[in-house]
Amino acid sequence: MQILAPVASVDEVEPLVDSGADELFCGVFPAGWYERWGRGAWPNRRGPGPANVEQLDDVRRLGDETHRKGAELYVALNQQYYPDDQAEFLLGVARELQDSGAVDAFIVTDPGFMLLLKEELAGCRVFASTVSVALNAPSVQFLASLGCDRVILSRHLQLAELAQLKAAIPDVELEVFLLNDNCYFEEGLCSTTHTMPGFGVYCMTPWELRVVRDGDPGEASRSIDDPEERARWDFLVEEHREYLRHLGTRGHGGGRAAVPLGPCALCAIPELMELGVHSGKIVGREASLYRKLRSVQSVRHIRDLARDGADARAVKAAALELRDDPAGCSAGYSCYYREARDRTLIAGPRRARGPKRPGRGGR
Amino acid sequence: MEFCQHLLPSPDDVDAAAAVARTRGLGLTLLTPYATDEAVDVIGPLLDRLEAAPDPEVVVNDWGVLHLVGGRPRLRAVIGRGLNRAMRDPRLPDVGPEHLGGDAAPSSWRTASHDSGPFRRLLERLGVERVETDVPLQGLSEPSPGGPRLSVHLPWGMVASGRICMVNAWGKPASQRFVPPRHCDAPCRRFTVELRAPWQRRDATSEALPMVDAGQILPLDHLLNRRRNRYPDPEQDPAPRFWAKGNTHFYRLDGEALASALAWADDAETVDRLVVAPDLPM
Repeated sequence: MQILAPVASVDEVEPLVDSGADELFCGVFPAGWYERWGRGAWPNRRGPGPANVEQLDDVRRLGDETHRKGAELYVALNQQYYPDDQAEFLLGVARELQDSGAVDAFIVTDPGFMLLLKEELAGCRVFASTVSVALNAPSVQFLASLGCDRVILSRHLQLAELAQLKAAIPDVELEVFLLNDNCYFEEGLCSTTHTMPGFGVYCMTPWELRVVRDGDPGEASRSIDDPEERARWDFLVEEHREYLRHLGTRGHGGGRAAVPLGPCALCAIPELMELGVHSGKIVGREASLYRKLRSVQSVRHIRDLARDGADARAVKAAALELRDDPAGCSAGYSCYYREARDRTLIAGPRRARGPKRPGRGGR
Repeated sequence: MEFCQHLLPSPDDVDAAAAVARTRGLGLTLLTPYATDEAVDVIGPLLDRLEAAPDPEVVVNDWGVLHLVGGRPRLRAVIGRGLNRAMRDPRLPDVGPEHLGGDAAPSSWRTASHDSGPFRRLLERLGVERVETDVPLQGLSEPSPGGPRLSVHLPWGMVASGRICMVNAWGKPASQRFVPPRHCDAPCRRFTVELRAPWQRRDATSEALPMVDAGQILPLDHLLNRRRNRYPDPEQDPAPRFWAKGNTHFYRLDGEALASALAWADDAETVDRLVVAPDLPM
């Protein structure tokens, strides 16, 4: 399995590749975009700032350095959809990058834009972004029929589902998420914008939640007044809040990586390699170089153990040791593939099934 | 059904609906969700039955399901709102230039996939003539000529959807909470989660940041990420509300927003169908 890592500047290439990255990806927020569409419209799934490279010359240098180190560079143009003027602008950007030879593939969501790239740029390689929402074999076949050379699967596809999909389409190159960021929703079905000043990320909104029991057709819904039932909903709301904390890095300690890493599939690497997944992605274009390096080194350590013949249990034990977060691993809320855990190896306390009952030492 | 593979009808349900449609001289539309391979295997037999229905149509929210429908010439595929991508973030009406460093809201916030030339060419290649859309709270610009026919959902719009479902986690052990469920007994058909936002609706004349300095009362009394059994009287409450039904968040077009959406639909030449859901569509 190849290790795909995020990159944001030419200075990051050498240390990332030397640490074990086989492939790199970046975003681009090209000059001229901001002047035409401002801060509210983005050419990919991250806004202006450290997650994106602004100058095409810098992308070219980044590509040249990546190739000098023997790796490949992919550029994300994976916004949900592009109106005509944006599609035309980005086709020009892609053409310039393609002609320079700096970019090995474009990561794309909009299927119309995929077709446009394939028709207009001879030899252009296109990967279907996870935002395309490929959850089944026919959807992967559909994206391949548009000319996609690789399909990046949903973060929420489980191992048994992945096995079924891979068995049906053994020849399509697949990529999965391995480390650092999860989504509450399916990313392609989330119609919100990330991180607006004063608002933050939609799925992290600190709502007040009111659970109601639906009425019969034509009748109003009803509040839940039974104290025991309310306590169970209170418990679920608290657990939900805890789950949300684990979608980013807040639920995690630094572990042996000595830097907080996010959601994780390290335990599942043996199964993913067995299934023939081509690439595992580390997320976090905007992160510090230190965090990117520790992420790559962590994945490489586990991948190499599995590749060199360690049995799956030993690999999982090494992953747990590396994370050094028994409570987090026990909860499983930060797992991409929770079913890959070996519970017998996890020392952390199990999370409660429900609220403590009054009279038994609880509230 | 539109957003959850655990809510698919049975083949017998499709037959029963087809019989009613036939009696009343109506066509039949089957809504389908995004789906894993396991659910695709369930959808196949539904399509078999649907082929015998009058004027059969399938709303698809998954490219793989569209691939399946493509092999059945009697079925008309309609692109659902899950594949017709748009900015449906319910916060956008409350975003001002101060959030965007002084920039105006981009025009792309008022468009969708159905208005994009490359997407339309793809639809032509696939033989798809109809697309479903929401009207976001910030509105839509008039569709450019020559596109697909549009069905407009009212009054509920989809904000976001995914396979993690809060109400499915109710009563389950930690290992089964907040993971895509293999099975579900549909608690979403009994419970709804209402979401009260920690910001105020932006006054069109206000230059205040809704969350930062306009809500002098709201943050103090807002139970962040906590459950509340009663909400303030909606007439007196400045905080907008949304809904989580199963695995999907929705907004609702009310009052002026609904009137504006209807006026938009009336003006747009390609809109020829309204899809009206009296209750949350799940």
